[in-house]
Amino acid sequence: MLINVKMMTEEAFATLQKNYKDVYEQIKNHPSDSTWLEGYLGFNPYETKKYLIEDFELGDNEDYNAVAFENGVLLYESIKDLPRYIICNNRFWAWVTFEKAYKQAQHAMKLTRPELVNTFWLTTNSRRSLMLGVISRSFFRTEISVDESMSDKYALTRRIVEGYRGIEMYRALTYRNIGMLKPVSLAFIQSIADANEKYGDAPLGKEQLRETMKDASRIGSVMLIDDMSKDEIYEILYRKLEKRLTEGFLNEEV
Amino acid sequence: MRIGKRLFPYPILNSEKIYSQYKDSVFALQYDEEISDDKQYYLLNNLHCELDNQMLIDLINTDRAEIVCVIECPSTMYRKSHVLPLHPINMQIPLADLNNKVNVSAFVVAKEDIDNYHSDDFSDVYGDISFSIEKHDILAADDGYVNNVDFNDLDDNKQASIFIVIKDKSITNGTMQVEYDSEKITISLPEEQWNMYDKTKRIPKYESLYFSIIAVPALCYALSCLQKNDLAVDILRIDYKWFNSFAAAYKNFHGDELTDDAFIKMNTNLEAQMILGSPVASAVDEIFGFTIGISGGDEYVD
Repeated sequence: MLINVKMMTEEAFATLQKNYKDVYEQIKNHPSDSTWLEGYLGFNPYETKKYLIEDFELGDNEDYNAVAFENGVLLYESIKDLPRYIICNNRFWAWVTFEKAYKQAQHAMKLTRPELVNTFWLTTNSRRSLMLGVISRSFFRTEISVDESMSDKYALTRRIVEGYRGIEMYRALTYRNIGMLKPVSLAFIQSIADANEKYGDAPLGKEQLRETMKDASRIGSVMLIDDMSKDEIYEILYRKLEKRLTEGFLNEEV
Repeated sequence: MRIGKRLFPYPILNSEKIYSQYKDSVFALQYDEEISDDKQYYLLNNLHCELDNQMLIDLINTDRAEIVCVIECPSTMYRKSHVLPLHPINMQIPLADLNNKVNVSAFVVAKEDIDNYHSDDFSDVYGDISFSIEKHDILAADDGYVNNVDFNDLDDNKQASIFIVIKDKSITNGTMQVEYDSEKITISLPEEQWNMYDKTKRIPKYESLYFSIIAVPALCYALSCLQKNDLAVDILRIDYKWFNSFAAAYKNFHGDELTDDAFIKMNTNLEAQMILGSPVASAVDEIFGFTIGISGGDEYVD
């Protein structure tokens, strides 16, 4: 069934942000649905947009990791064709979070203090904030890792969602603007995944992830990275990563 | 993508003369921007790069280098690159993929490794030195322009207000608080007063009154804050959507563009009133008329 996408109204969004302590209490007192919103605000929290999407229902599990990958793919497939103006709008994600994924949001991240409402449920419109939003991250994590050229186009998505150091990999991509370039994100994930497979978990600490992301930035300091393919970037990143890992082993042996 | 003052291990032709390591050569991105008549596309017409360095032109003509135009919009995470020919072209980008700042830049990029890279127009300090260039190295750069694309949903089909009025339960001293961000001026009222405001805001006879006691002081405050920032009007128009709307209203009202000098010298209290239709006089008239209306003039004291 097709549905119109919605956005939380500007007034509703600003009111909830301003009164985030109340919102926290309301969510705690009403964990199963967000019907309290309209009564709390005194008006309809959402405005309907003209864009249509296939309706979707995300899986729910108290252990959210059990459904995180499938939910990311479902969310991505459902909304990927919407205009960027919608996909990168925090009020759109407020609708998704409060209306379409209310219970899932509570399971994806435990709300342990009121400030988390503003940080992860009512994000700002910055790239980083949207990429870290409690539900929006499922979409963006899939978007930056889906590789149409692979036989299993979601192989890297599964790797970054469920694999070793997946959270740190995603965070590294989030924190650097260059991570928004698809060939960079794919090459970064692929190089870490391949090094992980060859050398195991032990040598792949957070430092190696940070250094590999810095390597990607260094490429862009002289070359036009926008002009490079995943394979070209991968070749550089993997070569440098492997060099650091093998030199690290040598140093340990010495 | 910005190159700015970045130093390269070889000479690059920069559109900014002071950062260029070429003596006289020119590389300059040029286009005319507009929104399509059907409001569906952001158009870059007559898009081309002025380039007069023969060595770089020869590299492009022999397919050893290319001109790449990068279009990016941070707020929609849109970033795409396009290879440009040497002659002008028209390009269109779906408007719904853009919002707020859009940066358009251009580069000449090596398509293969190039040995003995040298131009007679290199700055004198390089003498006869030649360089080894790698594939994808940037050879010329123009950081281009930051434009403001104010995307408005077609289904809204109305001018969005620059104000939002909300309740704030934490206000217990009866004050009205004003904040602004890149999009709107947000006015917070105590919950009880917001509830009253919400029930009465659409009654026409209260419109001037609300403009006088809420909108005028809020706009005056926000403008005064920006005056202290000491930033150019052009930058403020890109950074703050509500200010861009204010500047457009200023032009409609005065007939002249808002200049840096006019903004610095502006009496924000007066300007806020004028731009919002001088609501104070109307508000007093309405209060007077309302009082006469309900008391028959008994409460009127000369």
